[in-house]
Amino acid sequence: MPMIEWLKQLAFYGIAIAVAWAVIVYIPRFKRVAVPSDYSEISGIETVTDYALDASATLATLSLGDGISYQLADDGEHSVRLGWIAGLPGDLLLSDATGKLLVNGQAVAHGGTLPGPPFGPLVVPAGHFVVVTDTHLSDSLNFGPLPEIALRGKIGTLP
Amino acid sequence: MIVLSERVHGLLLLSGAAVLLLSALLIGNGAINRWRAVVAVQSYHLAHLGSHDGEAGEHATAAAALLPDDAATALAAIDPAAPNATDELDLLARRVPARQRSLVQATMAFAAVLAGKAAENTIEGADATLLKHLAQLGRGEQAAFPILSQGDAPSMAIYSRTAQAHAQAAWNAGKADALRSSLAVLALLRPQHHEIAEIRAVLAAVTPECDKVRVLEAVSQINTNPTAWARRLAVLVPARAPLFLGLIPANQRSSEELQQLNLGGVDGETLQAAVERAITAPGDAVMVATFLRCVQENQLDLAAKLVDKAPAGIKRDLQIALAYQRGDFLTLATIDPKRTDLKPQNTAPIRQAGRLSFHLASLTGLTPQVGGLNLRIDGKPVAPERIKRWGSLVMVDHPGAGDLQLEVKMGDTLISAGPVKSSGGGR
Repeated sequence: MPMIEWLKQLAFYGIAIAVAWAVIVYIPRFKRVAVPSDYSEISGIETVTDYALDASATLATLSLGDGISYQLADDGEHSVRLGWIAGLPGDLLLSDATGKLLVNGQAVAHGGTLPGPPFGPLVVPAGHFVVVTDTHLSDSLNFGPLPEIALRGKIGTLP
Repeated sequence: MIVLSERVHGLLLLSGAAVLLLSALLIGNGAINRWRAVVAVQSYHLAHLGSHDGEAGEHATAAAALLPDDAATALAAIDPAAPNATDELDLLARRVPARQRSLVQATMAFAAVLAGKAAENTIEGADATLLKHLAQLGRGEQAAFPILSQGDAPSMAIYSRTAQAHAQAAWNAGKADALRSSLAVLALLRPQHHEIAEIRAVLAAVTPECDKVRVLEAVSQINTNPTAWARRLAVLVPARAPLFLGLIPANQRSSEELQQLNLGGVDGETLQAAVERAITAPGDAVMVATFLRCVQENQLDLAAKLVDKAPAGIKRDLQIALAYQRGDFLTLATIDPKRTDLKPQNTAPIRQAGRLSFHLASLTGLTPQVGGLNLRIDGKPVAPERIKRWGSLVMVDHPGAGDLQLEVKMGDTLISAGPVKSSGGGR
């Protein structure tokens, strides 16, 4: 077989592998997540619409205050939970007597006043994250720090 | 150059294809197994999150079977508290990649501490700090719950177990301060704990910054035997005992609790208001407890107010108690003349250096504080200003010589009467 044919075949497989890699790596970044009409855990959220979801996000790439989609036990494949990151591994959390959540000494912008007695100080365990919502019904106040595996991705624009 | 026949060439290509196919199958099988293991681990975590421990165990076993040489899957299936955990972890540590070895070593140290053995010194940071504390607790030693540093993320299992063990030890020791530090961690780490309502209630109770409303909100979430918990919290945090004892239904309060409740009163309530409340309260117990509080605070006028309004069944006892506090012999002598323990008695009078003296007290040692003491010498009343008293000692200046007749009365009740000799005394 002439050399040119070998090179052509090599280029073909190279391009195929590059396309496959791009699909695997980049497609998750352009997913969308639909919010059901009865979703009420975040005030002001537009329901019956969908939000851009970067499913490639990991705890290493997230920052405090980022909007995320996550799942809990028994969640169906299509159920959606949204919230804000309020703690990443190693972050120091505590709530004061007024119910304000402080992360590394700074008040967090989301989550409002926390119910229940003041907690902390505690450090977010390795491989876990703390998420807050407005109602606290299904966030870390009710389910604790969630394992990274419960993270579905980062939401671009969460109100 | 070696020239191969077409046949041999074909066989070689076939063999190569077979090897490639086999490799592809093995790689594909490995990938599928890894994917299934990842799904199983995900299911394990989610089941664990939902407190479905049985289901979580099944997923963990499945994940470990699919990927036995990976720490993430194998560790999920090993219970560090199991008797053979150390051996299993030792074997696992030899199989896993080097980058995962520290995770297995931390779990090995955890298992060793749980088994009451010394942890290896191979781990550092937050986990080492927590395991050291857990080992101390295991030896029955008490120490402050470690405050971890920002950026030093511990293992969830070790953190949670240590906080739980510390809280248990502090609860057993009845140390509210020590309880707070560990419950404040558990409250967020384990909000799905089957006793989370109790954890939050105790946390609120032992947190000084928590106001009464937040404490009551937290305690009201307890559904299992709330009365028993109210009693426990009253013992644990005596400063808030009235708050918790007030949650016990009135017909289930013991007399001691009722007394404690009334002695403590309602927050901000003055003693005057407590007296008014006691007068209108049904039953005798509140009145008795409030009376005791008045006596304790030396507010005898308020105590007298209660005595006036006391029901007939307890009125006499309260009168006696009040008279005792006042040293009111006159009242004591008149309430029940037959009770000798209430009746004041005087010692034999002594005449020395122009003075007549004796001691006056009841059998129980009570000395008269309130007036009503009447003395007559040779039938003539002694002016009150001539009678001097120091505690139980009664002294009268009487310079005359010769024997005399002394009569001692409390009000109209005769205490004693008889002759007193001129020297050395005695009747």
